[in-house]
Amino acid sequence: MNIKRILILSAVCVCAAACNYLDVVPLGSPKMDDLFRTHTQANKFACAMYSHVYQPNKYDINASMELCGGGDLISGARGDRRYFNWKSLVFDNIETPSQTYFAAWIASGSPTGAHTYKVWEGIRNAYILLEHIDEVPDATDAERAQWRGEAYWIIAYYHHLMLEFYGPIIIVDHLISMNEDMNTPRSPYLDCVTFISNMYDKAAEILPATQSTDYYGRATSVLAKALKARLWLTAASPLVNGNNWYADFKNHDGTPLMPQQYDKELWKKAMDAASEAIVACEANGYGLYEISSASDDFTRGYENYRTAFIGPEGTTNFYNSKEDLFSENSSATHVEFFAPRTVSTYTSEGPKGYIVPTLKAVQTFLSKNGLPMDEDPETKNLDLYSIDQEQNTVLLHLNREPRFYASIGYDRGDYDFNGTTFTLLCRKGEPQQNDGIFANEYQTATGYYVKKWVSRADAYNLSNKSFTTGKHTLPLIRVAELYLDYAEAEAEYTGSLSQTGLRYIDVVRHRAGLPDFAKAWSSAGGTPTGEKLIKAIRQERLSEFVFEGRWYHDIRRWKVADEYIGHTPEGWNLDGSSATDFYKVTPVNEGTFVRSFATPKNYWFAIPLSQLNINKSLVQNPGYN
Amino acid sequence: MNKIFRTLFFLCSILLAALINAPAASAQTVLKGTVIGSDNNLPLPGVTIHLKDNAKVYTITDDKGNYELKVPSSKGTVVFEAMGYDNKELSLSDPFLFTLVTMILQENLLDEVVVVGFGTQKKESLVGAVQSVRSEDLQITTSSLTSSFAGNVPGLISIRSSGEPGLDQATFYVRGVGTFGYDAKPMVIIDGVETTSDAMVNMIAPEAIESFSVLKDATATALYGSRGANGVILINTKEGRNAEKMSINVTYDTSVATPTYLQKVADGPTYMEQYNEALYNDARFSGTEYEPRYTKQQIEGTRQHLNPYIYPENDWYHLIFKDYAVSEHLNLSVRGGGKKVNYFMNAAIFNEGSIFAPVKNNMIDNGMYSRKIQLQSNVSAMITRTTKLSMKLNCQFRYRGTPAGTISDYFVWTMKVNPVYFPAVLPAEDGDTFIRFGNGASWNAGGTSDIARNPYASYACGSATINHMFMTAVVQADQNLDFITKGLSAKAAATFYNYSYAKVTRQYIPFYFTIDDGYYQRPDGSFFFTTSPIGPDGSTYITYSAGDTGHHRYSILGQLSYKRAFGKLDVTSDMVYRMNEKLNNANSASENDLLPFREQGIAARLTLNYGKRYLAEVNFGYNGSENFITGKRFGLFPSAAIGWTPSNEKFWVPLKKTISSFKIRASYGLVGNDALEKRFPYLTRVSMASRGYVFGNTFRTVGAGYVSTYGNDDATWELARKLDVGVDMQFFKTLDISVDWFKEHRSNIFMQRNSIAAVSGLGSTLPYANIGKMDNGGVDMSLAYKKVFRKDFTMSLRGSFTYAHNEIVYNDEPDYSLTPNLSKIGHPNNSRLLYVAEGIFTSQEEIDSHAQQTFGNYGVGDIKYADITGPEGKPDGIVNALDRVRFDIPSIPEIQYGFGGALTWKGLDFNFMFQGSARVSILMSGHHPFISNKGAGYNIMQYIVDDHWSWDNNRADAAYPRLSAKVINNNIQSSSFYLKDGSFLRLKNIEIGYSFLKKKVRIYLCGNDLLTFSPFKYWDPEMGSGSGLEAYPLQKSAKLGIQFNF
Repeated sequence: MNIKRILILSAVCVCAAACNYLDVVPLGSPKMDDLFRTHTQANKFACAMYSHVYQPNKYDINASMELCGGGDLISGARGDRRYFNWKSLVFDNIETPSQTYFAAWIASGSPTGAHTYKVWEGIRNAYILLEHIDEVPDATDAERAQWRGEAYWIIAYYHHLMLEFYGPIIIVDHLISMNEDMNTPRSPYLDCVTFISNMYDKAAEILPATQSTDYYGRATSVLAKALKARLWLTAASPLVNGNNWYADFKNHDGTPLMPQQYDKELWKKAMDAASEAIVACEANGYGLYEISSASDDFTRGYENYRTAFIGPEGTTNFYNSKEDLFSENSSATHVEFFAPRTVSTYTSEGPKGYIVPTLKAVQTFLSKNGLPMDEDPETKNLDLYSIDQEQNTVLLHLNREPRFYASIGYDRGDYDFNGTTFTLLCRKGEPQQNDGIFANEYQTATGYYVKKWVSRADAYNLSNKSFTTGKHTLPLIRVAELYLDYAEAEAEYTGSLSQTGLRYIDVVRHRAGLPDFAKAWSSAGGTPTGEKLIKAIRQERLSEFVFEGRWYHDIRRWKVADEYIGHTPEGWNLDGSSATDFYKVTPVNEGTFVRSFATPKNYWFAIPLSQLNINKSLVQNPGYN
Repeated sequence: MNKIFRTLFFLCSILLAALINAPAASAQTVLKGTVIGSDNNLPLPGVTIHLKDNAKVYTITDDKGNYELKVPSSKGTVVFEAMGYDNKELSLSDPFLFTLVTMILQENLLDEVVVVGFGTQKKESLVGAVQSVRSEDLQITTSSLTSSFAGNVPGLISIRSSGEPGLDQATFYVRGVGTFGYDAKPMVIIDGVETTSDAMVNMIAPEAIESFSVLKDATATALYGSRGANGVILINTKEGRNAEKMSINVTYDTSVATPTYLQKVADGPTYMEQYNEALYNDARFSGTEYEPRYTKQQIEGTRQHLNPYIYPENDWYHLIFKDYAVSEHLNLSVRGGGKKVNYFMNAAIFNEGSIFAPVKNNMIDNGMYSRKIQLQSNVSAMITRTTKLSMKLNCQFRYRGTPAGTISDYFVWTMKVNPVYFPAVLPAEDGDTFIRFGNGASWNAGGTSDIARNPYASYACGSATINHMFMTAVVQADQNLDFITKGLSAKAAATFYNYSYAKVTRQYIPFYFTIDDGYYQRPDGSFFFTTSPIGPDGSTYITYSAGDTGHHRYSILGQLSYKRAFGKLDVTSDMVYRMNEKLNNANSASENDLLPFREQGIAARLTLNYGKRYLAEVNFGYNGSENFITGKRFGLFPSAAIGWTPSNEKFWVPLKKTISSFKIRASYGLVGNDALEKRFPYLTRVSMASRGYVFGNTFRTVGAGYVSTYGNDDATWELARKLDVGVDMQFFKTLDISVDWFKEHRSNIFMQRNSIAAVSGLGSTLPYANIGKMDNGGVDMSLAYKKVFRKDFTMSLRGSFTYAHNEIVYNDEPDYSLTPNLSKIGHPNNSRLLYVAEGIFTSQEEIDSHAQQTFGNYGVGDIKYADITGPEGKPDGIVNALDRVRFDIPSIPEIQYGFGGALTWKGLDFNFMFQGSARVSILMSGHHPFISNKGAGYNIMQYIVDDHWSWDNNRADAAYPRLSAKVINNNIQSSSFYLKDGSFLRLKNIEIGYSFLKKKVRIYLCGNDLLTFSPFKYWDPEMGSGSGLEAYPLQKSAKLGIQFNF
């Protein structure tokens, strides 16, 4: 009796004293709704979608496979894959499904140092934004249109990135819910292209053509069209257009993933897409960056091309809003990797100059007459590897086009850094030498330096050990590409260049101070057609886009990657202290790394094994097991 | 600081000397009588009876409790002593008292009364699986309480992985690992205060512990509801007791410790030769020309120690460490009481040194030490005739000094850093205000540091002092409510706990110098060389940094208890209400850290004992936590147990002589575990932190906001269903054996969904759900034997054995139907997924005929792996991640056992204890010579030097594959090549003591971890996987001590 009473009493006490005791809820922490509660927050979310864009410089240039793995740049013998990720693709057969250094497909990579881009998460965010746009209470119609267009553009662009790295991919066309079956198979290459192309179209329809200065770099209708041109040009290219390497590349149900029939009409699509993009550019004030008022073509070309990347003399921060349609806006940490040491003893401080041009890149540039060196009547019979006694350098460095001088730092050539222009002295014992001591890791591997991205205003202060560098943009796509896209597509489609095609290619050449294409070739047997024309356009493209990460994509697209990155690259004999000793073509010392770029395997990244285990419909890329 | 400690020790010694005084004593009388026990009024055999002043006059009671003692005079006092009973002293002046002597059972006697959740229970009524251990049986001779668990406490699996002073606590699990969820560790409650710090538990002075109980099955733990699934450990400190005199106990000891095992690393010349061999292998592999890095002259120069700077050779270990560490420990305890007030006080001081050696002429005091002061004050007072008020205070102060960096690094560096690249220090020059540390240009490209590691400099350039303070306070009122109904009592308690931590780090930047090129040997054999500074400028001043953290916790508890006997039926019942809260002291900016952690619940228990034969118990816990969504916060956890004691049945009487006691019991019930990886798991959270892109001509980053966690409304605690069947037996009244067989099924394990494809975009925010399932089962048993042969000769033996094996029943993992070898299901949680190594390739033909291995280039001398399966579920001629197999012997031992014995003869006592672990594996990693994932030029371990594959030793069973100066990915895969049996047996403790001055003083000598037997030879097997030097090594120690008892 007594006990019962006490029990009841105590139970009542307990409840009265403590009913809300456990009601601890974090009210202050942001929740899903908070992302879209005001137009400012929604706008920030829209901008945050861009954070998964693959930005070579953000992850350090020495890690970037696009920059260092394209055959135009090289980082030498030293350095592990953990920091020099690009090496995993070309050396020692090390990029494997269970060890993916380029983990664009998964949220975390397995080897230490692997880079992740969380591209699929970016796509998810775009669909989340699409779901919530109408909920944002204080947004204007223009803002909603901008966000919707951006979401479409993000979906298209991120799929496009995956397509460039993995080939046929899985199409994500809705916000995937947590409980649905997400183990869908890969879609055939052209289905992916069509999906992405349509998304670009949807984005282009509603996005504005330009952005305010505050938002340079945000998606525009012009950007959507430009990327669409790149997309179709790739789709028409030999790697994916009727390439019999991929005859057995099929889903488990037998669906072929790569078209096995060459379709010439794809080039027409590429032409049309490029044309549409060029028209949009020209109508909206985009074009090539040309500021030089110099009267002679060489100086004008040099100044135009050089300033297009680092800005006119005297500017520190430079955003090339005329030409860059989309770019990685860098804080110029790359100067540390590119600029040479200015003191002759080795130091690990300051500019390191160890990401350097290959001889291949040097050879690629045209002559001062705008022709390939082996076609130009003035140079084709010269021994380019002989020494010009007066200039104290090889003929290869003489009589070249302005873009060469604006991009390459060579022995006895000019270099802009530390507020001055000085002559590079790269032989053994000289200030910009490689001293040959293996332990001194940051040194040029070829005898060259990158000039293109380093401005005279960039400086290193030896006493307080700090860099002063301006901010530049690293273009991810710029207007010049569209003109050359058109020319290439037209040459492939028709075998020759029309007046439009010629005009477009000349836009690019004119800015660089080169004679018109037809005029230049008139001294070398006339305007080429067919294979020779295609070769000439490709060379034009490689020269124009050197050190921009486009080489990696183009050499794969053309099925010639092995020729560029499958073999040990060449440079000069770094042990040579005299001109005669120095100017001997020598394979770059790649240390204990063994080149093993495999065709067709390394044309695409490996799908991470963990995903193959989860998704049984997913097939691996050819060559990876 | 040190001075204060020294003074303290000195003062205490004087106090002791003053306390020691020995009184003296002198007709023949014959005493006869019977001795009975107060607990059951039955005769007590084996009671020692002697004159207080002359221990040589003695006798022992026979089987029926009878005795006869001839005493020389009619004056004096006779002492009765029996295990588990208070000593009784009777004056010869009153001889009739000697006919029937009742020995009073010691209070809280563990043999008879067992501490259980929220109370105590008579051992004879106990039906749950509760292991109680006497603190003296823990044989604690180190300053580390938890390190004594292994092998001593049946049902506990414990592992030590560090011997660092002040941080040498073991990790322990009740009945092994029951879940693969966030936390598999048991709840530890000290005097009713929950602690989450193993370090705090470890610091409790063993002298202060009254009882130590491990609650193992559902019946024992269900009262703790959603928090008891991993088992509960209850530690109660001593209370004062009503005694005839105050007892004072002082212990002082000093010990010397040295690592149990030191891994041998190659010396300089050996390193150089081996490195050259690696280069030779690489050249031969790639078909290039072999160029040794070290010339014959360099190697010989180093071997002959021509010049310590030109031919440097650093034994990094002995530069940083000394051979042994010295520690001392003083403990003082006072216990007593009267009718109204009882008290217990304990003060313990530990002053522990380390093997870190001081650096000479250094700007900073280097080294490592740990000073601990532990104070316990327990006082209780009867404030009315029926009300007792008590207060228990426990304060632990710990002051540690350490090097500034991560401690494990210092050990790793001694093993890994190139010994001949540069001298550790260069000669001082006139006017130097700093040490000239040696260095070379960086060995490592692309890293952030341009300077290669000089471990000596890294050690010298910083130190830290760390202060920890743990405080617990318990205020408790006990009210006897017999006036309401007989047998009813109530209790109310409030507990407080505070932990604080502060750290100050002092550092300077070392000055590095390098030997310039162009040194030469003079004709007299001496060397000329110059040095120049390298790397960033050093600093001649010190910079400081500081940090702090901590948390506090309070709880209140109300309890009603009812104990009464109705004829043959004993009824015990308890009902408890409690609530507790934890809050961080730290100045955190995260709401998660700012909000209190709360728990609230009631628990009730009813125990029935009929005729001491039929036993039953039902209980439940009903509790909740703030961590879950409204409506899902509370859960009910019931359990029930039954028992039968046939030895108390009439039919057992004939058996009683042999099997003196026999009890069987069984329990089943539900318990929960609410420790989840996520706080507030039901919430979908977004981060508003910057995660944007650079836009605009001003290059500003815009953008913020993304979903960082997807919530799950259904999130709840783990659920454990536990079954336990046990037998307790006693033979010949001397041998006790207890065996428990248990089985547990854990469900609702909160885990991340690993079967979600990356295309969902959920890859970095994989959602959680209560979907995991795991089984755990095994046996634990204990054995104890004690025999008193004569008054002055006793012997005891004891042993324990624990086996716990778990298996994952459901794990959200990719579909492994084609490659079942990858699945975790059906395997222990701590099993390992490894490639199956088939030795080393010895010929190119062997490589050509074997499956293709896909870990980069490989050749003769590299590890050969088995092709287990492929994407189609059958071997595909390719070895890749699909070919890994689960190796079931886990990293945490499945078997742990211990056995030991004790002998006392007159004043001498001797005891020893062996402890072993079995079914445990070690996976070697990070021990690869010359290379690491960091690409540095590391050293090579001696055992690799002694046996590795080479062209001259082209054996498939070499202990290590081909040496290389670069990473051979093929050879550093986690594979069975590096999997070793980690079982061991060690002499954990051996002690010899001598008591004199009427047992008031005892001196003892004791050794810990002196011997280890194991099939694993490379390092101390208890340190587990890795490279063997990844933590402060475990120590073996010798100790000399003295105890005073008054």
